[in-house]
Amino acid sequence: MELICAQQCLRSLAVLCLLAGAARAQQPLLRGMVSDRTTGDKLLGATVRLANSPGAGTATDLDGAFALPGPTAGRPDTLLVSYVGYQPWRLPLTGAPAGPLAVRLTPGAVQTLAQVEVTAKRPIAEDFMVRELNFLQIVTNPAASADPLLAVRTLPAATNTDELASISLRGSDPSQTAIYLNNVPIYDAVKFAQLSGLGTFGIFSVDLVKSVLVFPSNPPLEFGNAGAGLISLSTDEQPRARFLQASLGLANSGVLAGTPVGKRGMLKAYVNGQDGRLLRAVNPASFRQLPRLGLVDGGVHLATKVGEYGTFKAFAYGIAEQYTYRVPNGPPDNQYRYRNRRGFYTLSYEQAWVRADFALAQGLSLRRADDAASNYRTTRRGHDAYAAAHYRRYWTDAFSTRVGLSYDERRLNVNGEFPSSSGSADPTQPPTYTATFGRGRTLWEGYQYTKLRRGPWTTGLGLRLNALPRPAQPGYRSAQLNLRRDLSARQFLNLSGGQYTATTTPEALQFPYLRTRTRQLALDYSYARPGLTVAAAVYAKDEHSVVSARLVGLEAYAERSFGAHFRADVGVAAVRAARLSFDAQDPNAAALARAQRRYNLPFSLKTNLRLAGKWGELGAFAQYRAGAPFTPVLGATTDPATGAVQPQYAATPNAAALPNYFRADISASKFVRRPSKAGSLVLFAVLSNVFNTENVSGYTYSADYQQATPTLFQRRLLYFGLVKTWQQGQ
Amino acid sequence: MKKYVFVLMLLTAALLPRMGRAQANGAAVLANIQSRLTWRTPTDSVQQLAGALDRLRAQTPNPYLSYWGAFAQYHLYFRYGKDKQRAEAALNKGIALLEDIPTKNAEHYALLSLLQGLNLEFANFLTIPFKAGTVKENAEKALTLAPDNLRAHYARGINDFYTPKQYGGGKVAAAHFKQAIALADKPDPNPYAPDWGKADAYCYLVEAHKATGQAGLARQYGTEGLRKYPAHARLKGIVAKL
Repeated sequence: MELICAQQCLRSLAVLCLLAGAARAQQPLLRGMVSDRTTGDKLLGATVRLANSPGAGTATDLDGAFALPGPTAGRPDTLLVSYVGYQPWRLPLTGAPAGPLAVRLTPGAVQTLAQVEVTAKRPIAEDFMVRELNFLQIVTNPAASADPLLAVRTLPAATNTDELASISLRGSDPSQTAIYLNNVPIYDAVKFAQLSGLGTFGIFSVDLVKSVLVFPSNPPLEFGNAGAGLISLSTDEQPRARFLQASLGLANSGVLAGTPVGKRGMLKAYVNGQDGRLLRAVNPASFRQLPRLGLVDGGVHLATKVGEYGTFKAFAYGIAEQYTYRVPNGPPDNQYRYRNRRGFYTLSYEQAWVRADFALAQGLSLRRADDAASNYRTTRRGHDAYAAAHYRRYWTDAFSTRVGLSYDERRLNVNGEFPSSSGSADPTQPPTYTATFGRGRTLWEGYQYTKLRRGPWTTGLGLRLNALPRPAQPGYRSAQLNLRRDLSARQFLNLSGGQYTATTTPEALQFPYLRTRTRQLALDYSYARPGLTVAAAVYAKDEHSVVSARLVGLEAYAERSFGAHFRADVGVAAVRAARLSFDAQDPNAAALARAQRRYNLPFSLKTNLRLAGKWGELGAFAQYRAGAPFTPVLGATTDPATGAVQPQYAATPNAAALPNYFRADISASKFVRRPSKAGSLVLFAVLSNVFNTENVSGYTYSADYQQATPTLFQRRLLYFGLVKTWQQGQ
Repeated sequence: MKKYVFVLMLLTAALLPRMGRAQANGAAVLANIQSRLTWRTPTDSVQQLAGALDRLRAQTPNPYLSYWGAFAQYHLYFRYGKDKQRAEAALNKGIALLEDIPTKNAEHYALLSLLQGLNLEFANFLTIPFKAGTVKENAEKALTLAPDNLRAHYARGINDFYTPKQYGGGKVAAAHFKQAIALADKPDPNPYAPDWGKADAYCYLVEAHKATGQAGLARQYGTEGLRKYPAHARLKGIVAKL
């Protein structure tokens, strides 16, 4: 009986095998291996299916191998292999393949509209960008004071030798750093600005800013008038519920309100006031030289979606500020008074399609600044006008070209009363003269930038030209080559080099706008994984203008998160800048060389710590760097004709060095929210220069130049305040 | 000599099956993974699976291994319950796994949005507005990439459902849950692709209607959901309370 059963079983098995064999004969098994065309890595989980059987398919195993029943004999079909991040692979099947298939997928995601829309809002050279700062990184940095530009200053690539919000990038003067807001250049984007355009705080409100892209070297050529690097800010366009936010602080108080406009738009408006009296009362030692300061500024921002993939943004800003600076070593009434009123607007429109995008940008800025000291006073009126159009075409997912045309005009008129001799700025020596100066420049520029991605390589090539050369603005060209090599999904090397042109406003009135040609080469390395970022760079620059400078530098940066509550970063940098070269016979060039900073920084160390918990948040920032180069006054000579005392400078400008610089800041904040309410209250306090270090920023001299008094950077400063927010529905 | 050959053969024989077993283990980890990661899977089994996925990913990084690793952490978050420290660690690990995928598809963005949404519970006050925006953005990315993906609709619905009204929430949740229950479980024929979410979408569809006082619709969808998923404990509980 058992034998019969066994025989029956065997017979059944044999029949099953035969049937299966017959089925296989009619429906051959497709076998193969799927791998990455570039690296040769076997791909696990690639989807393998037949076009006529969309619901049935298989996936590759750990070895990239697959086996799939082929099409029924005589019925043509197509084998489809797909994998996220790769282009799909197709093979028309008219019969059974002779052997296992070797499928090699090409990396490169197929673009979707969502990706295109996001990409359209970013520079074409973003692959070659090194740092992006977002809202969080700005507001949680104690040294940034919630200021986007001051947050950039804490990066190792910022080689500032001062405490200003005007950013020096990799050893270049801040005037060589272009700042763009929604694709419109914003010149002198600072508050409490000096005549040189350098200022203490940035003018951008962190509540409006969505992201800050920092190109520390080799500014992308779709943006003009940038010699050293570029900071590109874009405003937030996300709609949210209606809200009102009031802040009250020792340093700054203001109101911010926002309301949705239509279904997809958002309008925000803010006004801030800063009155130095309170701050001075709490920190008298820090404000001995500043008996008066204050400002009021405000802005209105509208962002709305247009159609499915278009965005329109408009921003208008106005500021009125003033300060009085008591000149050391002078009589008590020897004060420098400065007052500035300024307004600008920017308009931008971006539209994306699957294979192209288009952008328009326009801006206008008007300003008037008055300053006076003793028998000197001036009024400066100026305007900046800008318009640009950009068009990008994706020839393939990996190959794109962007072209554009821009118009950039700056005008400045100065009239005032000046002392007849630069050495006799004293009321007792009255001869003065009145004069009016005017200067300006107009830049018509066109550019193209082409980018190609192939395997681990990304290449960018750009060319920017003066599109309308005229005798006043002779032809020039900028060119750029970027090479990026992805070493893995987490790390890459980036080699960028090129020649760039920037036209800047020197402080000295006798100079017209100065054009600087910068040649630079930079090699950047970046590694990023969740919780850890490492970056390093080496670079070289050659800047040529009336004064020429050469430098080489290196920097390294590491940021580590330890859980969600503690984050630390450390950055080191060094810049070796050769002495400035200029025509020694030209007194104007010598004066310019003395005024121009030399960014020779044998070492610079910055570190930032952040500790957060339910109890609140603590932040700390510290910087230690070599002292900045400066030109000492060695003595004085008296002009026998006028009797004016003239300083005698060291023969080589910026050859001496100030003492080393150290500063530490700490901040604390606490968020309070009542459970029944949706609004919030934030309490904050910041202590700058905790150790009250006397950092020397330069020297001022007595009238006969015999006595030098060090001027100091910010002494210990405490400020605190609160921010209260009410949301709709409360 | 023969002795050495014999020893060599023994070593080879000992090693080869191990290598084969490693490969086989890898395949075994992913085989029917969806059915092994459900609300009924015991916590220790989810932990074991998460560990196996970790080990496999260490050898062969892969988006599927990352996705299922993140999904295991998503389950572990709920399993850890009041142990907030472990729950937060699970969310952070899941988020890190998904964020690390260089080219994300709709499934990745949908799950990332869900994990980030849960993680708002642990966010610092300064980070809440920023992170809440990212949660919504990722759900919308998932929807844009795959408008016919039920988990994309589910993620967007959850995001809206848990967004307080004064922040603009509670407007589109029901519509997205309704779309989610109408879509195919698994548009991707890949056996490693996920198919979860529809029963959960039924739960939230009922809750969303209940929250707006539409008891009739809540009951209707609850009954329909129970008919399809009679063993779904949470759905049973929600319907029982209607």
